[in-house]
Amino acid sequence: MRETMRLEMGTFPITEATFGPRTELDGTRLVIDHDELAALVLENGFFRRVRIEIVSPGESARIIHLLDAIEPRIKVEGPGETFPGFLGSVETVGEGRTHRLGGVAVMQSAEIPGRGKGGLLMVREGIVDMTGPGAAYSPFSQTINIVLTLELEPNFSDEEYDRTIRLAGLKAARYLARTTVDRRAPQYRTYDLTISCPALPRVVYVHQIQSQGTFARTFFYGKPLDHLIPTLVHPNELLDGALVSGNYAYQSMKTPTWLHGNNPVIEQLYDRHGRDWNFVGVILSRGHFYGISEKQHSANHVAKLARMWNADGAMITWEGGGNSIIEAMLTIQALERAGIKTTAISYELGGADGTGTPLLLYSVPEADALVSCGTYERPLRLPSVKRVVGGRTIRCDPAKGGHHLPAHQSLQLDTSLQMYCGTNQVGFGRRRGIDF
Amino acid sequence: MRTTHDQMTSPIRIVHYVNQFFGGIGGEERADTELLIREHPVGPGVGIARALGERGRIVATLIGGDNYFTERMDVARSAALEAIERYRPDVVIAGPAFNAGRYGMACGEVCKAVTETLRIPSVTAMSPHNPAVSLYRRSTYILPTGESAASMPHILPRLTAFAHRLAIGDAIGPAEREGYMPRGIRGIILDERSAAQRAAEMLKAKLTGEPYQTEIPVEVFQPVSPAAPLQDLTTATIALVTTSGLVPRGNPDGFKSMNESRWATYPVKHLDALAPDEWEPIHGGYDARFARENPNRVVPLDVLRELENEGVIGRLHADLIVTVGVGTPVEVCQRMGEEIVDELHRANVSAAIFTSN
Repeated sequence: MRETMRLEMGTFPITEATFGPRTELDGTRLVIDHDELAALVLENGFFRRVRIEIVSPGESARIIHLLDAIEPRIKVEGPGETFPGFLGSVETVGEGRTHRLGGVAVMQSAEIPGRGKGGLLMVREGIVDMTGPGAAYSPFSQTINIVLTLELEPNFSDEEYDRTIRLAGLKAARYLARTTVDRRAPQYRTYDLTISCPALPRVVYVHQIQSQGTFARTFFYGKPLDHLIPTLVHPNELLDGALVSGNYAYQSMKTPTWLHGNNPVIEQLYDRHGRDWNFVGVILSRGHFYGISEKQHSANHVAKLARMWNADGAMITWEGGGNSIIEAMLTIQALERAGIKTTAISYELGGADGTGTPLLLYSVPEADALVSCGTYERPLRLPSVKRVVGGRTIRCDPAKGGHHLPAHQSLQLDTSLQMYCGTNQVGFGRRRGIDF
Repeated sequence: MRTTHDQMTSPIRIVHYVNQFFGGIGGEERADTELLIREHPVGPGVGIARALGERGRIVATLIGGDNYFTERMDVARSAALEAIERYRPDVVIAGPAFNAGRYGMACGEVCKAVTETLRIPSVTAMSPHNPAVSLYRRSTYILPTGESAASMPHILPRLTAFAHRLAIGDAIGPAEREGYMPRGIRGIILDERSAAQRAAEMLKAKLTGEPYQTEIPVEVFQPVSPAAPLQDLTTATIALVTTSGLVPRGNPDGFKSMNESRWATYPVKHLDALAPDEWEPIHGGYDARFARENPNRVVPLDVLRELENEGVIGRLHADLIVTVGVGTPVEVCQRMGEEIVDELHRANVSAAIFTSN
């Protein structure tokens, strides 16, 4: 019998991070050699300066101009490397042994020039508040954040900034995870899809991502998913960093790399594997196709793959906003019509006061099991903070040329679109809509 | 506004509304009874007073005939408001009305009026099938009852407890947890469990045939049927309408790139085409490079002007109508659509070409 893909994940929980003379793990304390990490980040020549700061949970702190968030991970045994296609070859990952620093995120912060253009493909403001009412919007109020504030050399293209910022973040994450290589992790967990109770229902996860162009893109083994035809993926590949985010278009509706590797839906499906169901795998699909026949094709194709997998049930999440709900809804419809029972997580609308209708821009009658992960449409007031990381001012309305507000002050926001991961689209958070 | 001290110690004051039947006046033959006031509990009010005990009292019972209230609603509402204001209640209770249609209307109207006009909280109770529910659920709290007065013993203690909480300013939670009928307001709360956990539990229930309830009810969208085709293009005035967010350079009206609720008209009468240095797309939901290079790709003014010059169409409307269609709630789109149609009718436009992006 052939070996199944079996991944052992060793977790090193981190409770504190400090700068020190040498990058190393001291128990649950992560010590970082500032200059060595800075040199690694600056080696590509696209950044004039980097400021590295550590931000911890409970601080009166606000992180701004956020781009990606990445968990330090490294492959210590087995084929390939974490973040394949970027930091290594495209060898298939998802087996052997991987180490992670639990509770840590490496983040890049940079003010990428807006260049006065409109449209989707631009970087919009992303904010994490570590305490106060904004903290519930983001999982990163609960992590120790190593923030790389990058000062860009001028006159490079969007594509060059995008690529080099991503590589800097991934390399920094691997660099920090390297502290674990020769150590035994305090916790190990094995991820394996082997079926021991064939009578249980078979369940797939449909992971609909966003990939439309520069600054609104997701990568699989380093390849952009802009023209993705739905495909089958092993969840362990995602645990090893096969999906990397370059999506900064709407920071509340994104799934950063950190969440692709710590996807709460995959955790749930694995936790109940062999007990409530057999988790058979992930179908990766894409939203935001421009034509209705492409949308329908994507939905049909997901349902076909699920049928070929003999799936009985499916869970769907969708990244981004607007018309990509059409792919999500058509996919639910196609799955249900194929007899596959489906639940989905979706954010909702409702306007500034919760009386707006409908709650979804598009829906199908088959969508009878939706879980709400909140909304971006309510105004939000963030209190003033003692410390701001990533810059001094936040940039509002970049499509209109951008106006700047002092970032440490209290901020009255019309919506929570700028709150990093605020619409909670892979369901990590507890915010939800409910009838009053 | 009562102070915290009052809330903790003072008995609450309630005004209770009932119809002629529950008020002990008579049946259908007395449905014209004009508003009567009794300064003591009557009918179901006796049960409310018993459930309330020392925590408060019914300071007045208003009794109105079913026909009086529904056929002379303006008069009846004013009379009720005037009386209620005089008794300075902390909360108003109406009914329960069960499945009685006119009584349900009267209860809903009394509650709506005191809440909106006097800013006094109110609660009523009736069957979910009572037609008044859809009319008044947004304006007051309605607790569900059975179809008939047989469910009276069950509902009175709940109605009383709910009214007491309203009177003392207790925060009222979501409908499904508190047991009232949804008021058409979506609140955002923190659940005990994450969305992923809840989705997994819902999937398990769905797979095993256990009951589950969606957290986001879906609405069925009404299909839009197209207007009849034009009989004669050569005499027609054609307008260009777009949600592509194409605006004069500099965005003079300050349109938002998302969730816009306004539209504008821009004169294009003297233009043969839309020049890239004079127009720009500010829409935040599509890759706008192609529209920026050539704005006629999202608003085909160039081609329509040619068709006008060739006499294929009668006339191109003098103004371009623009909004930004991204993340806009459907009801806002409907409102803007109606306004734009009015504008086009006023200008005697025969047809519109609508471009998105």
